[in-house]
Amino acid sequence: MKTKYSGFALPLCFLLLLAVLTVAFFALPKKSYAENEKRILSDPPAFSWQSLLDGTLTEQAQTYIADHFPLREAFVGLHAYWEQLMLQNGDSGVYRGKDGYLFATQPKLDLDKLEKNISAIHAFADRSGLKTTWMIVPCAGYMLEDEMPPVHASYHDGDVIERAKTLCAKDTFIDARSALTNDSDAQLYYRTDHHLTSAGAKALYDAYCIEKKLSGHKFMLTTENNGFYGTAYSKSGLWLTKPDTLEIYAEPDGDYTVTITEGTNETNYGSLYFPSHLIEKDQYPVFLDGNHALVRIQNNRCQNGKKLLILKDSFAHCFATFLAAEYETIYMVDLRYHRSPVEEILQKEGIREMLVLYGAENLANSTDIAWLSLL
Amino acid sequence: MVFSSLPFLFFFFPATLICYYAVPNKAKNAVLLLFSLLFYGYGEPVYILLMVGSILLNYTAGRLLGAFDESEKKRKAVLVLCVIANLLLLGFFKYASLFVSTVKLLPVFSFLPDPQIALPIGISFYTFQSMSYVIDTYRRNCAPQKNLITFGTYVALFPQLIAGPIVRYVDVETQLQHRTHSLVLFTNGVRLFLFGLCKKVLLANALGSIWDQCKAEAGVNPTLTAWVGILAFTFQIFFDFSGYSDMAVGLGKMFGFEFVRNFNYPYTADSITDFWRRWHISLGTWFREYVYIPLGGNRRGKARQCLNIFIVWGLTGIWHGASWNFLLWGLYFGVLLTIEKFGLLQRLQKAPRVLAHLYTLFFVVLGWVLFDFTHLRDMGAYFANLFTPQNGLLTSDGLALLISHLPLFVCAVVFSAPTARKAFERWKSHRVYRVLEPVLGVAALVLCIASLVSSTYNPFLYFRF
Repeated sequence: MKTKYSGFALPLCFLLLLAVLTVAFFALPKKSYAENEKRILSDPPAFSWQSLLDGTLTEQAQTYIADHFPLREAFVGLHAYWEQLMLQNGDSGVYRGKDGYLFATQPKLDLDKLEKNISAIHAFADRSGLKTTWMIVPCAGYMLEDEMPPVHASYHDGDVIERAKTLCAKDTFIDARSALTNDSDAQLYYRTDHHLTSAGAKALYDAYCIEKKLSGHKFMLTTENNGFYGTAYSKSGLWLTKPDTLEIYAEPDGDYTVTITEGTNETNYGSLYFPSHLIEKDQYPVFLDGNHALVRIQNNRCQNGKKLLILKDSFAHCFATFLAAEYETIYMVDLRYHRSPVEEILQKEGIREMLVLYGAENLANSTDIAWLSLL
Repeated sequence: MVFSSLPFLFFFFPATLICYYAVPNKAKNAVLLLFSLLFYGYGEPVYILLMVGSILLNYTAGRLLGAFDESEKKRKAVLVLCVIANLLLLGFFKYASLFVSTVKLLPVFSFLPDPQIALPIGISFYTFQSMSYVIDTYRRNCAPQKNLITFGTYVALFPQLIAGPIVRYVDVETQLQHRTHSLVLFTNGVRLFLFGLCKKVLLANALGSIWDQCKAEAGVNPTLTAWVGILAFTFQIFFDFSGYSDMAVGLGKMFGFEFVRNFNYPYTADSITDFWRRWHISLGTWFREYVYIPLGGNRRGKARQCLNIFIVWGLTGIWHGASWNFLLWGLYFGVLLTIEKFGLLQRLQKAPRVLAHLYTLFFVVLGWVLFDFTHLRDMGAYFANLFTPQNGLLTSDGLALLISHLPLFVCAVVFSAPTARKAFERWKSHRVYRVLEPVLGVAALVLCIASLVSSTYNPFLYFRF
């Protein structure tokens, strides 16, 4: 039988929920690393009078609570699906498209900065006597209109590529848009990640070979790995999205030495592929171990004397595993991390050729390319 | 600390509640005072001293007013000194930077350094509360408070400390000393708190992200986008502020206080005069009681009334923030209210209701442009976006922005009107509602927590190891 006090169920439930989560916060073991966010979670704040007085103690406590909140990722997911329910697709920085596609939304592209970046690269190329080839990769949202949700903001990769094409009339310019215009059923972009799939990178490689009149090498599918959850997935909070399959195409008899330089540390590896990343959520670093300041790829079976510098962001990683077959030596420089002169290497190795390979958004908005004029 | 944050909901609030109800009635104010000071010190520990100083100043003034009961002259002197001291505190901590940066525009003073004072949170609110106490004690509307802890509790009380409502001492005098706690009051408090939390977290924050986009693009927004943006801000500021007030009033109830209502569906107003009776009511009341009426209000002729209106609205404007655009915003309403006082209001009352509402909303919405742009150049650029098609009337991006937030806007409209409240009043004793309420309440709280947690979720995607 109902009593007249049934209205008090509300405060009871309210207090109970707060209490349960508070207790859980203290009781549950704490993780030190968040794989989806790719960051180390904060440590409990250490008390000092100084930090108490200047307010950093409470700031740290706040971060600590947020980082280790019980069911943290479940709450993030709930919020993401709530936004979907409210039709606020894209508010979290990711559009949920058709067929399991997730598309990162596009920040404002800065065409003035694009011009500055391109002229910085031109100045560098002139200074070093490099012959330059450009390849600017449009994002998935721009290329896959059919997979986009019906309501979305427009993507402006086309403007970036057109502008760059005009500015680089004296260089070789490979329009990645036509290379990535799909006439087969191949999936050229990952569904849960912003990168090109191996098929997409291969399409770019083919276009590069045609432009450079290279015969091209044969590659074979060697690995097919499920369970790849990319950056768009991590950002979206849409945890029920199906993972991608990552494929590796390799030369049957490839023999490479990969030298990765971080600061003053040089490490040699015997392969273009780093399979240890295949057990992680984000598997893309399987190609050349992900982001590094300087990577040297030595093709041990090739003595054609051809050497190449690639100025790049991560779109180049998968692509380079194909292109490596064509050159004796490739240097890849990532200006987001590389902060020492490149010209020394160019002179020592006698490199005369450069490929600039960037995602359109990065090339337009990068603040790191300006470093070229200082290096 | 703000109410819509994880540390408040899961640490501060439960700890306060447990301590508060664990101690006997006599000690409850002391517990509230202690926790309020902690609450205040959470963000800026040093400013606890300022708060304590302000409490001591006004407490002493109250005691002196009581001690000089026989001498009107001395009482007046105490009042004047205390009010000046309060205004100096507020002036120094809130307006010094504005003053210096404005004076620096004159070449003679360009050497002046910027004072770089961080605004103490809530100083505008607690200074006004303290002043209401001193003025009302002087007017003998209330007796001087002899108990320092009780007085301290009034000034520092954390529910209304940082964003109002501005509670007048006379309104809570008895509650400070004898208040009854009941489950019914507590339940109402939880209900109101949850409602306020949803307004802030689920509506205001989401609407805010639309406005942030449009505000950043001031000058290049197409017309439709500009209107979507300013409407988003219109709703954002209402749900933000009234949500915070609801949470404050709700928390007050949980601790046995009944505060005045601060918002009464302002966007349903049918004139600007009406709007200001519904928006931030406690501030309007304060200015009426302690500025407008003492200046003579409408009793000294039309010219004087006009002047009084402009003084009050100039002050109301600049009270909102140390920036000249707030003064502009206040005076804008001064002009509108004067026009209404001298004839428009009567015509509005005869006009069709729809017209009266549209007129009111139109000017209120435009007012928010003045309110939220600190720089005149951006403000002008945004007005140009609203009223000229210089960047096109309608773009696909603008349309996408509108469509993808349509459900949010519909919710915003519904909860700006008394519809939800009426439905609640009608159904609250119904059996189905009684079963449903705790379920809805928990669901709402879970969604709010999800949103708060999600806002701290920062994928660091390009990080390198």
